[in-house]
Amino acid sequence: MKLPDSPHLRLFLRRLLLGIGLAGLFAWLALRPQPGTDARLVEREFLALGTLVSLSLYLDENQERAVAEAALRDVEAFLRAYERRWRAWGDGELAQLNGRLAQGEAVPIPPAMTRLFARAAALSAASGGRFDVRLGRLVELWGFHDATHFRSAPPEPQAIRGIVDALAAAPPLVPGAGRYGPAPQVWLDFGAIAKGDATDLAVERLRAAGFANGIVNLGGNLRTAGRRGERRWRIGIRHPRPDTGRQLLATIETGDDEAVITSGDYERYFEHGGRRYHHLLDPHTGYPASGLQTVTVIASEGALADAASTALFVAGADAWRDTARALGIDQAFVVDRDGRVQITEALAQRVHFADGVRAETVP
Amino acid sequence: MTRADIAAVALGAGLIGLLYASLWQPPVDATRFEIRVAGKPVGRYPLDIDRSLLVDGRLGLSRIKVENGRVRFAASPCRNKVCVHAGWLQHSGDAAACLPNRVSIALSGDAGAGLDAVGF
Repeated sequence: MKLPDSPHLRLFLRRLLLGIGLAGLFAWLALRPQPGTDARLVEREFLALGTLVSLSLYLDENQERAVAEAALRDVEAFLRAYERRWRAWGDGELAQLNGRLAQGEAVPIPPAMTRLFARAAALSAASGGRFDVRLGRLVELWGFHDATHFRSAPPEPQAIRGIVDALAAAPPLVPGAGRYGPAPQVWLDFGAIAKGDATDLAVERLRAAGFANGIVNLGGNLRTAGRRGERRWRIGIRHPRPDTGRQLLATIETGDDEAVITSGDYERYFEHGGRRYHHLLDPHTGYPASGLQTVTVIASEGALADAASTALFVAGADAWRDTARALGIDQAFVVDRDGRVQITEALAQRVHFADGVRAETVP
Repeated sequence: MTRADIAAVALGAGLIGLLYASLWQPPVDATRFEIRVAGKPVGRYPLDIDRSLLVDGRLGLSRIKVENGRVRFAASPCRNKVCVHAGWLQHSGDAAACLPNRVSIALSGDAGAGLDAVGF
């Protein structure tokens, strides 16, 4: 291109070019693609099991998006059916079983439910009763079974004592038993294990459909499978007392098949008289367990990690390590009420804590 | 323009570009919000699930409505209804409060940039 002869025009054109260049630069900066978007990532979010469910799949080269989306829809339908079956209140199978228990009947356990009944029974025994699915009446008394309406004050101490005494006298769940009861005081609530178990079953389902790489995240309780292409899945653990500059406590890259499950006092709670009353109830006292703010457990099985995170939380600052051993958990960390972090040796090697977080490794 | 002028302009433009790239953010859609009663958090909810929540405040129940990634006070037992008039909120950092009833909502964005999932 031949430049015009007039020096004024040439100056004008040079400046115009510079202006257009700068405008282009700013437009690109504003519109540049956000990091993290990836055509091979397929995601689906919906509400189920009383929480936000988020499913992610990372496709292989030859896998089609439409097929992956169908697989995620199938998992959604599966989780909704799972929720109906295992919801302690309402009109599903467990709720009906609870209704018959309340009438003093010995109730046969439906074949589709015996597996998780047996798992819960075994884990309850191994945890010294700190994880216990029989505490539904207690959950109801505290109002933690209804996520849309909060109590503003704790229940009467006599009411709590009455339920705790009845629980202590009620028959335990027996692994492999075909029936349970009579136990009219017991209302079964699998809330502390069902989400973990559901992540296991959802991952199995996705695998069977040919998708080996993904995350099933049920309201912050998640299980990962495979990898995200060239790298591992990166999981953050939210800080139990976040502020604007500090939202995450730690990050970890998960192995091929791992559940990362957290129980914290910040998930469902109310405050009364300057005290926080949260949903992690100690079956032995009837009150929210004290001593810890949060517990994170990593294990290959979601059901185990879920039940264990509750049991360790209830065990508290002094007993969590022994309780973990009793449950066969070697990867866990806890934050105590003063914000101090303790972590098992096996997990300490893999976790990256946020700046300013100091963790004490315990054998 | 001398060469020094051009260098100065280029340097200035480059610096502005760098600052712009590192600091400028478009209004980010919030992903969740927190409800507080008398300043104390009582619950955190995702914004992508439509629902209606009742919160017990000093005067009575405030109704908070979540719809299409936005949240608002739908009703509150206060006189002036400032909270209801605040309307729909959807950006990270937005907030609304019913002062007479001591109920407030605050929206926030995603904590987990660069992460595939966040456990809590």
